[in-house]
Amino acid sequence: MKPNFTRNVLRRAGIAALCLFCWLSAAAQSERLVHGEVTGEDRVPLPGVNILIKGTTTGTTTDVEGRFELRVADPNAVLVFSFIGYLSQEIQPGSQTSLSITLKQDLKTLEEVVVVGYGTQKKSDLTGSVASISPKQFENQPVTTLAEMLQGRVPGVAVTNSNGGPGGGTKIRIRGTNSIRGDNDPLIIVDGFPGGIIPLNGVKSIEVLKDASATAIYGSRGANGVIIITTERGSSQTPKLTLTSNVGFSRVAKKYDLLNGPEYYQFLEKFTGQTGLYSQEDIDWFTSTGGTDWQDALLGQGINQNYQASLSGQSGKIRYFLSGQYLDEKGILLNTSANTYSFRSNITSDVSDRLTIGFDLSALESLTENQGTASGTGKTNPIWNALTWSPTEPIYNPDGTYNRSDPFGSIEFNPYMAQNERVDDGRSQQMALNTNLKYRILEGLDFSTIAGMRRTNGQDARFSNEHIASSPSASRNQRTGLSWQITSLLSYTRKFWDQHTLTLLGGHEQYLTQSTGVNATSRNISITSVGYDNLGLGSTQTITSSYSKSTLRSYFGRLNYNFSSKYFLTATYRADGSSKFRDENKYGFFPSVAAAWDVSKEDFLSGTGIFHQLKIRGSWGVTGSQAVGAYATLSPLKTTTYTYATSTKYPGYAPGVASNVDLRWEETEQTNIGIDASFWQGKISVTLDYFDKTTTGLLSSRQLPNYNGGGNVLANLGSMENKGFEASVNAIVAQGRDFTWDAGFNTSVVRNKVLDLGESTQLPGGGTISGLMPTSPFMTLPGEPLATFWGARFLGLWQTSEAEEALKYGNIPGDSKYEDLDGNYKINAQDYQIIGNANPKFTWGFSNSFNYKNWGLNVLVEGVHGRDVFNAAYATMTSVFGDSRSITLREATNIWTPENQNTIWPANSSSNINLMNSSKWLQDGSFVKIRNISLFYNLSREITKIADMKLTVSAQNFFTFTKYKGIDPEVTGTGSSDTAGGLDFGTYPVPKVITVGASITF
Amino acid sequence: MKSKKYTVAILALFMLCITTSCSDFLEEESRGLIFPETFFTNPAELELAVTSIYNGVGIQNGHDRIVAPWQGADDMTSTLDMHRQYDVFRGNGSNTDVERWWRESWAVIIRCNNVILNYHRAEATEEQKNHAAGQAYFARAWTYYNLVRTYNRIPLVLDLTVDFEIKKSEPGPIYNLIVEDLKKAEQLLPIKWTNYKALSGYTSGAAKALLANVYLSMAGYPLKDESKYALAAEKAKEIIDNEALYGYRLLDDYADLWKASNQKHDEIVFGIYYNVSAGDGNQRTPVSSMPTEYGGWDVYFAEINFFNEFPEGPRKDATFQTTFPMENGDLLDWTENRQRHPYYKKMWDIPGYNPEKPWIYINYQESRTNQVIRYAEVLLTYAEAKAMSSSPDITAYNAVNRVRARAGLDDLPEGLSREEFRDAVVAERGWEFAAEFGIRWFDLVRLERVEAAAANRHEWENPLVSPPTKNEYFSPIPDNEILRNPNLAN
Repeated sequence: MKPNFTRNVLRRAGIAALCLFCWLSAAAQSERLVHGEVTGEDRVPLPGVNILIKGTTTGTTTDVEGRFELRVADPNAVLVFSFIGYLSQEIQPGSQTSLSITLKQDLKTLEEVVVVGYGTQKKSDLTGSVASISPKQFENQPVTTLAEMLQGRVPGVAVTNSNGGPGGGTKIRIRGTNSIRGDNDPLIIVDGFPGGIIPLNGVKSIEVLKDASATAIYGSRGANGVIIITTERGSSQTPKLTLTSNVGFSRVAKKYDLLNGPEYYQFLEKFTGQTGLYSQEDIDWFTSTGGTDWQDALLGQGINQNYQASLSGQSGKIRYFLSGQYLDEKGILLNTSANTYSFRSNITSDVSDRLTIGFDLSALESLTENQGTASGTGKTNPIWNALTWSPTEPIYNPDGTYNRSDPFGSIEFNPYMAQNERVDDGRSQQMALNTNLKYRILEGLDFSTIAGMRRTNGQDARFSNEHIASSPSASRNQRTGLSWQITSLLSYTRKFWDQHTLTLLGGHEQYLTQSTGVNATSRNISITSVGYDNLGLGSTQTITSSYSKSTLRSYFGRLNYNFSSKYFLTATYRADGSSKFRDENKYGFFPSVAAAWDVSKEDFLSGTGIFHQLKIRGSWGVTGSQAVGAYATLSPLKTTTYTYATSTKYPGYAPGVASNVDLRWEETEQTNIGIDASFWQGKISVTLDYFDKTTTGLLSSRQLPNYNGGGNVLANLGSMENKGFEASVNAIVAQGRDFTWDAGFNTSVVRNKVLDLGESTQLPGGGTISGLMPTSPFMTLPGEPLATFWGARFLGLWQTSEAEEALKYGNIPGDSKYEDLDGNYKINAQDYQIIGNANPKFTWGFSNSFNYKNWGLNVLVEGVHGRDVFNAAYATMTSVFGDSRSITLREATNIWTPENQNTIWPANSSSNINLMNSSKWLQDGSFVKIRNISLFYNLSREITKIADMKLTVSAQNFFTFTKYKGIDPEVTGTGSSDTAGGLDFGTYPVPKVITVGASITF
Repeated sequence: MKSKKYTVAILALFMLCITTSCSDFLEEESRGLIFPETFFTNPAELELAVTSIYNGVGIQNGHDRIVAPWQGADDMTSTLDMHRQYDVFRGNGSNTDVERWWRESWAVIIRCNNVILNYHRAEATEEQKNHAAGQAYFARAWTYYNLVRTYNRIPLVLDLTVDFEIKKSEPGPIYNLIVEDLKKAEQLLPIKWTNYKALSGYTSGAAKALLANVYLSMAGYPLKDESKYALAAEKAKEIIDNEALYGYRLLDDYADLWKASNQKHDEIVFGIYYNVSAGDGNQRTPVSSMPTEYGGWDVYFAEINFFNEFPEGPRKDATFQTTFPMENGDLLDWTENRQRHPYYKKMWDIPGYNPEKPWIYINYQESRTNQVIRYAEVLLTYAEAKAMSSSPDITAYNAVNRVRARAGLDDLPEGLSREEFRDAVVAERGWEFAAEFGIRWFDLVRLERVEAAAANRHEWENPLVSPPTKNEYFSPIPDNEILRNPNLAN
């Protein structure tokens, strides 16, 4: 690399001055002994550093303590210090005989190899948009899920906690949402196998493939992006044993400001105009105690425990890795927990120079308690019940039995009773086996095959005792799943005519997945002490069973070409055949091409030294999505039962949801333009990407009118686009002897827009609540993004001065007022309009890692901005309608009176209509969360004499900055749905956690 | 040499992988699923399809909420928001209870259409086919009858074809379909079932009684086809003349109608049956109509003027709860309870219910039967229809007086005019069937007396902002259905 002109002059002047000085001092002596010490920036001595007198073959290497001695004859000699992984340094010792050299680590990561689809590539050769995450980025944090590893760290990857329950729901989206169908989950590949068991520890690298050049090799499974996880393998000759333990204490981050017993009582009498609602005895009780704080009754302290052990190493030609983990999470909501036991091992053997074989085995068992209560929009949702139960009601009656029902507030059971008595145990086992073989047929020609299979078994067991069921009942559900995949690859690499490198890959793959289920339900169990373990005791028994299978067969190929590491070209092609489609729709074809140009390698730039790298990338390609389950083109009958008033349940069959035989692949075409640039020897690196995706043949479910049976019919209708911009900057901000600071900032903007819906003008979404909101608050509309909120616009309350106008609507002052779009003096579905959107306008993540001597601090902040949340829980806590019978939130007690007109809370008027589908319940769901703060202290082997130790204290999700009125703006009762998101119905909030941990490595 | 062997072995393996992909690897294999194309082949399958109809009817009528528009009548009221909306004639398309009634009604119709379109394909005896078709025609007619009376103009759907653009039909063709269906059902259905449907199967008698009711409705608003009075009278008479054959009679004691032990009795012409221990409970009993003091849900209770005008006697005693024993020993009059209204206790009695201590928690669902058509209604339908089609003759008097006698009332005075007689019978219907299956509400609608009834409102009732008009006779179609098919807005 040539320095630029200014630098050149300065440097030459400097060298000239130095030379003069050296010459003067060196005149006295001829050959002399130069000695010294070489260390890294951390002051640790570096053994084995090469030292060479420039222009000669004379030299030496440092000893184990980093020391060296060298005889130098020429007084103008220049010493070159070089060491793998460090930047070379040149020193002209002149008259100095004692040197202290600090070598800087080579920050150039360009030679890093990254994992891509069916292979690896030098990072510098990439033409597509691929983000890599190394475990270094999260190793000091108590992460237990893939979502936590990714959250806030990768631009274009949105990780949302859809609920905060143990083993909770997370949603990962790469570059927006392509499909209305809702299956927008990225493909996750673990060591070459799709849908493998995701490792909780022992991750070597995670790659996120974002653009079509990277994902099109996965064809029909690539449209939503691909996450490739590579696990650790043994490498060092000395066995390495690591033990880690973390214990976390969690609490709900925030609570609603609810009325206490006496306040509720006074308000209720005022609101309803009725008196004598409570007996004196009741009044005495809740006046003296304040009544029941149902939030406190249900939400307490949770504890997470996480223990890990791993052993890895190499013995001869065998490399091995073993790890085990135990995770125990007790949730903040009463009677919720999750336990996971996992085990993972791999053995790799280099049988010969040409043949490598490997065998991976991993297994996982998980147990959950009442996981179903974490999300959903059912009225049995425990937190919603806690928010709407009257505080005047005790948990227990004076005689110690449960107080079952609330005379004025909720129509549901006592939430403490319902949650405490709930028995819903989930148990599942997963096992994955993976064998792989790699054989070098000729130099440059490799054959490899990966055969993997995964078994899953699940047993769910439920029991409803006499407290929560009319007749005690129990059910057990057994599920089995099997999937296998065989992939065969042939790859050929050749360098020719010096500067041309060509790599060809061809492959074939078959995938099969199959599942079965058996469910048995028993009702009217006469002896409840047996729980769900003796279904035979029930008088009415129901058994159902199911089977499902689907297959995929694929052929694919890839060509990589580069010229002089300056110009790069990649082309891929894949053909996928799926059992889910019929006849001519069975096969889908997915091509891609990409090119890149590293401008920094051009002569006109390489001399300036500004850029360490400046690569311009461009790609185009098509990926697909099956987006439907097995049998989607079929319309099976659905099972029902009726007793005919006998004790037997007679089976019945009813027409199922109408089907569509013409279903075909959904295709996503994506164009990507990106720049990778780095400056200052790579101390600052910047990646910018712009993408434009269009999905056609959009697989979407169209709601059928109830007169056609309701439900949803699938169809390929319309198209949708996602455009966006991603930027990330990584910088080494400070790098001193004792102190370093690394920072990474990334931001993404994704604009999702439905372009066309075929014959439909609008598709109503999900997220309905039985008994409260039968009409979805979501609507999919052309020209608008998914998860657009739809309803009547709330305009406040009719004021006394507007009495005449109000009467035209059948209203009186104090009633709710809505925008009447068609001016017909009626508020109905015709007046519904766009009232908000659940998608953020932009998101960002900011991670920092500080190190001072043995101390370290990590801080990760994430921001999500410009989105709305429909707070359905808030609606029902503040208004009376449907199954919502009373007001529990303090804010809503400020009701309208002729004297108090400046409020949004209507009086209790029989002419008032509280509309659930209204803008009144939309709240600003933007937030900034400090996802993680970890402080750790390293105790090195030198101090402890036995092992390296690390102590950590961290806080997760401890601080949230938001205007949202609910507990947590991030969660939604709609799970991972994309057409419906941001609907809070007392959804399990993400808790704030303090974790202490220790790890020790022998 | 060794490496050559490897090469051969591995290439063989590779070839194996590709060639084992037998050609049917991508064939879809749907085990365990049943498809309509191959269904309806035998009597068992016919029966499975019919059972789904009963399932739909059971679910539809087993909720704690009644059908909100019935609240428009003067026999009952509620403070529950969704019900109160209709009590004050503010029904709207966002109402959750009316949305459910719509949705679950159509679920029944689709299942009926499925049987009606396909039953002939089954290899079954004529009787089996007839029974299957008869039950489907009956349930379809009854459900359309509910829909047309609730929403008036609705789509007329006779098959399973998806149609996002269907327009609403006028009520006339809907009523014609109902009549046609019931004419078939009365022929096809048995008079009595001998198998597991002995308790709950739809019968020929039920079809005739329902047809009489339908004719009576057609004679009133909105069709106002007075020629139907004669048909109603004729159809009701068919049953009355053959009481013994059909097995119908009035129970001697009105209170016996509402006993938990009387899940099935001779007065039920058409009932909807449940069995709670098998997981098929009826939530319309008991707490649905109980006061909150007893852990009830206040879904409906009696309007005060209606109660006051209700003639005294054993029927009134069996209908209303007017005094309320409390746990602390107090005995409250209805004017002192929280709602300051009398309650309907018809659905309160279930196993474990103690009238002395009604506050003791009992189940929110039970096996009580929803009595949709009682024999008393057949008698009163006859009386009214006979009077209106010709004159209030002796048979008309006899019919109404049988009902009055059981209620502890004197016979109607002789010599009443047609209209006077009709009004007496309509009043009788109100009292006899108070808070039962919307009978009072639909009487007020067909006779265009909603406005008059609404004017007779006690000051303690939910206040009316504006009096009802003909616009409030029928309920709007649910908003979410209009969003799926905007044509339904017109």
